[in-house]
Amino acid sequence: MSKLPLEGVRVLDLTRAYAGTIGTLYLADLGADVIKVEAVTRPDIPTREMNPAELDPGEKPWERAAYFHRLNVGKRDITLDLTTDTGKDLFRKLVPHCDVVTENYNPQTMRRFNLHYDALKELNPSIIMASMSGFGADGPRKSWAAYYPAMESMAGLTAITGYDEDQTLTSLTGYGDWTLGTVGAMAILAALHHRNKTGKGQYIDVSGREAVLAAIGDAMTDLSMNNRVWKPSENLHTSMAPHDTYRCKGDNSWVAMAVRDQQDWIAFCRAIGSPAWTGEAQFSDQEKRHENQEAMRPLIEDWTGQHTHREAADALLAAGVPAGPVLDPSETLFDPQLKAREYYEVIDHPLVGSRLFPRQVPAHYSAMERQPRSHTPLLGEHNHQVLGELLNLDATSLKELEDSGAIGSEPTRKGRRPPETSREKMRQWGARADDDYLEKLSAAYGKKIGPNG
Amino acid sequence: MSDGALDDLLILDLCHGLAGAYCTKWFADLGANVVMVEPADKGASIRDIGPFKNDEPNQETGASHLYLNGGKKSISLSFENDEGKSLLNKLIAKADILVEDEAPGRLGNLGLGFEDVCTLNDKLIYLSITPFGQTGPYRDYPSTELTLAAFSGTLAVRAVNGKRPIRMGGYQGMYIGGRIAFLSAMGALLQRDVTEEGQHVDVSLLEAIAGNDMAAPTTYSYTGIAQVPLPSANARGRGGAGRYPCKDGFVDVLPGIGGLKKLAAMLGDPGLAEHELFKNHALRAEKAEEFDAEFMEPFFSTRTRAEIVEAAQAKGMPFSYVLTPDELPSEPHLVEREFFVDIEHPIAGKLAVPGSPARLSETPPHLSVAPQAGESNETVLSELLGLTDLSSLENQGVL
Repeated sequence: MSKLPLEGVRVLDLTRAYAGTIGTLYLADLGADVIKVEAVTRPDIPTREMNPAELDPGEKPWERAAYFHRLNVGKRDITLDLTTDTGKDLFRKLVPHCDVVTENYNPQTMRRFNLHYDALKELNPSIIMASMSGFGADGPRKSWAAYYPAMESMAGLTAITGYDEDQTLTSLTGYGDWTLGTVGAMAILAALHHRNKTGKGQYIDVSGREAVLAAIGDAMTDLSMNNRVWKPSENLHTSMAPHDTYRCKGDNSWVAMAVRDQQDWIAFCRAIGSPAWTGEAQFSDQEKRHENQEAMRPLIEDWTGQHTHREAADALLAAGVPAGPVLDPSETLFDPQLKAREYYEVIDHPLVGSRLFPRQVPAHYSAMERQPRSHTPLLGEHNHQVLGELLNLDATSLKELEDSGAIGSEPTRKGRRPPETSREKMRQWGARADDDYLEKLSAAYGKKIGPNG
Repeated sequence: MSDGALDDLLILDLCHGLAGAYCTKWFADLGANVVMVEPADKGASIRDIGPFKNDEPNQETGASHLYLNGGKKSISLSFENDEGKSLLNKLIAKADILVEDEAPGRLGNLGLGFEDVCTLNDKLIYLSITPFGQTGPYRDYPSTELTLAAFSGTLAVRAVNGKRPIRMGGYQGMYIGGRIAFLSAMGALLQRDVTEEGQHVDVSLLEAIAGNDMAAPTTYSYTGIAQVPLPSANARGRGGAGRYPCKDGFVDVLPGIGGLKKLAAMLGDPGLAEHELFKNHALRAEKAEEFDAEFMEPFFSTRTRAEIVEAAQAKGMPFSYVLTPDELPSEPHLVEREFFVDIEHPIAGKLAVPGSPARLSETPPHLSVAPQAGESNETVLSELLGLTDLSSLENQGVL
């Protein structure tokens, strides 16, 4: 069995928060040595403090957060302050030892640091630099701030998602960030292959808004070809019906189903016990069902309402009709399919113990064995290792850097505490919150999940 | 001069669905020679997905086909008979990557599984894209994009005010799958750059979609909380966040970090930051209607999107327009970045389609027109296999 594909590829990673860190997470999963660069004066807050283990910020609140751990697992971490001469100098010295530099600052920032692509190329002619921003490196709106809703809304996705034109929805899952980070990683992999062939590096500019827009190409082509403007259409499908989510037994419980054709319809009717309404003329063919889908809702919910989402989906799937329980994000951890393919990996962190992390590149490879990933790094955890190995700094120099505050392992600027939350409060808001989550997960994964000791 | 970062690759695209097509579109845009291998009698089934030009069903004018198959070649080749299979095997012997999205085991039953063909070409990367993967208890379940989203844990989150969960517009799950499939194949390719060995890559769309997870399953393992939409999540702006109507459309309002002070200043009275409804998040959520009526609506109802977004962005708040698809081609930033690409299709006519979001300085992506079914039979088979007379193959129904 071979090594991982990016073993030997080193990434100097200035990304922060979501989108950029997602991009380098893929590279880490494929075996790259991703060296995350933070600064003790400016650590990766707020993700470093969001949703701490057991909701307890503890003595080092910046080392306990689910969000940060999820997005940075398998990377190494050093602290350099690029606003200082020392920090910049060390960064410049690291560049020749690296293959890729990544960043997701505002487009002006790297220029202000004098660390833009042309400057990096002087230090390492074959460097690949990737900038991942909301709107891209040039253009009149390049400096606009963008969280994921802006990337989606400026790309037309929000305007085609939701209940109607007055009630649109963003992804609520950070889709803009995921898309930007994923496309960033894809472009970097292509550039690495090009470099393998030619020895040449290059600069990559990815805009999250454009990455999302490229994913509604069907809508844009229809616009261009037929002058039709797509609108929010709930869960309607152009041909399938019923095609929607239906209320099941229990709180906030839903099943999704899709009747693709007449054969599915016959199977569907049989699966729900062939109630009389399924024989009505208004539902007799796909076209009529498409037209009268809303009239079917209460009738279908008469059946789904008697079943849990799992029971309803299982009955339909057994009949050959596409269906799926609308799982909440905790239920996926216990899902038999994802379990069977070892989608979630248990990773042990020195401060919070064993927790669960999806494989960011989940593919199963025939000639590559999955490797256990290293825990999400502590702030500055690899200062000595990286600066010692790559720059040959000895213990005395490293200590000097530490004493001067140039590197370190504690933030000098603390984040503002995120609003306190509790499972009780979340339940009042309608969320599911389990007090026995560690026991449940430990039983499901056959090892102790939760704090060590 | 390079024709693209991946211009050295030959990709055989046996796919029928959107995810596979988006995956191979990435290869095509980046310069690879992508050859769609379509059943001679009926074409790849992506051609049957509407909308079509003038809403008249036509395998050449489906919007998804026109967009996702741009820059590829097409050969019509039925490989369920020996003659066709032997031709496909000859192509496989020359290919770098084969991409397929058949039900697990189907190509194996035809003698075209990875185990069958890897002996023809030990450098071949064989990428299989399926809803649930090649293994596991759901392997053979029927599915659609909607039902996969349900299983993934990411659909549950998009349900507000007790209403049913709503999928994202378009086919985002399939696009996510296409991206992850491309990434996964590139992993194998970069390994092959070193080892010179191919392999089988098994991609599950469910796993791809589940990975765009807002950290929610991991968060559950830290806190016991299964993420659901917060009370502030709404289909309309509420309590200072979300989509607010203004004079000429909707603005997506998001104050961001430290944003309520900035919002107060934008509304014209920095002193408002001391108002209880600005300071207290929980109270603002509780009295959202009051907050909106008193502070948000007067400001928004008298201004345009441009006025509001420019004012907010000047203060560093990530507000944005809610642009409808028809507004995109003329949006000044996209125009200046020359994002849309004009292509001319012999039947569908002139089209402006989204360009590649991967702007590589030395190897810029290049977009082109989608092929008509079988239009590349002669060029592909003569260039790759040296075949010049195709008439007997045509007569046998292979091509």
